[in-house]
Amino acid sequence: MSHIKYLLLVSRQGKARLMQWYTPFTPKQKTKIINDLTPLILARKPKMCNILEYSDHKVVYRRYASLYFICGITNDQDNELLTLEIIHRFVETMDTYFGNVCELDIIFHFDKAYDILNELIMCDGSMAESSKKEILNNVHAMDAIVSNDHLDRVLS
Amino acid sequence: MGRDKILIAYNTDNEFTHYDTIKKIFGKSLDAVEHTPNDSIVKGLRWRTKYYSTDFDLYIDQYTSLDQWLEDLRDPECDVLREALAGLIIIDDIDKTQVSLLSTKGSPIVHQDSFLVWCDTTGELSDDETENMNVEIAAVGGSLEIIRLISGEKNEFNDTVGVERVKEIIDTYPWTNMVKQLLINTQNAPNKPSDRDNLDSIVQKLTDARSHYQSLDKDDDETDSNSFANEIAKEVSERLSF
Repeated sequence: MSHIKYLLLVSRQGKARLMQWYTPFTPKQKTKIINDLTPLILARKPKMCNILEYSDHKVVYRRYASLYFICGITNDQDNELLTLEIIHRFVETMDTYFGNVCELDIIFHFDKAYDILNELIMCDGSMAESSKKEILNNVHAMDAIVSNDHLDRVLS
Repeated sequence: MGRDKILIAYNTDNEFTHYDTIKKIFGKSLDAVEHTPNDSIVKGLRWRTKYYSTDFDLYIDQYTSLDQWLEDLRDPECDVLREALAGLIIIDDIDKTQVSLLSTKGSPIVHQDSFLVWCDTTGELSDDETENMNVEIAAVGGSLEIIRLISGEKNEFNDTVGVERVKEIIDTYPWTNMVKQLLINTQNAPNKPSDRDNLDSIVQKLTDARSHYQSLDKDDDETDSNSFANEIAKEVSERLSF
């Protein structure tokens, strides 16, 4: 069972593009985590290990093009390799949804990226759905509702 | 004040043709305006991505001594210029001393939100060595990024490198004057509900709209009914274009 503490998406230039917290942290703690982890991970060479220890927990990260996906995990409960797979599944799903996802897609459709993430990981940090097809169906259903709402507004 | 200017500085002693590089980066934008390769200011350029377009100016300067040039740029007289810069691109052979000075955290060369890029014109450094230098810069919290111009589009990790990486940096810069594009084709639009659902839903909406239009027509309120019909036509055409 996976219990991710947080998931951060940071660009190669050190800008946070997405952040989702699954464990309660104070705003000060969140800022500290982002400020500590961003230079720490950006300063790691491509062939270095993707798992490191930080504070009282472990951090698993993976780089895709210009984006770093960073997950804080619970030492005793989480499996590092499974976390890497979850990150990969998140990227694969976004890739299918956007069609070769890039940083610009996430900047301009961050709501969709969060929707996909929320379908994949529950609010307690455990995995909610592993099927890419199912996640995409749900996100497309949400899109259809939004689209219909827009037409309804015009009709009314 | 909006930061909508990109400053390019190149070494006059370098055999590398700076204009070729500028053309590779800003090709489409430059083609749209009148200019000559020797212009030091090109105004009214437009940067386009699939999500937005933005107007910007290109300032091109040259130097023989980068030390001196950077010293001049740091001068308080250049405060206004530095504040207006979206980014600074240096086109030159890599100079490790200058790189270490530029990569210092809080280097006052450009605003903290602006990008700072060194386009390395030598072929001496490999992609790995360039990557290692960037990692070292990131370790000290610097914002400088070294980009090897003599590279393909992607490296072994599928990272964008070379000129394409410069374009990517400009793409992701938070332009204050950007104008968002309307998503009008399927390639740009991330939402792809099934065609069948989409068509059923549109037909249903059109039926509803027809009834509503007829009720408006009965009241002889021609302006309202025409306006309603136009809105529906616009909405349906947008839906069908997805």
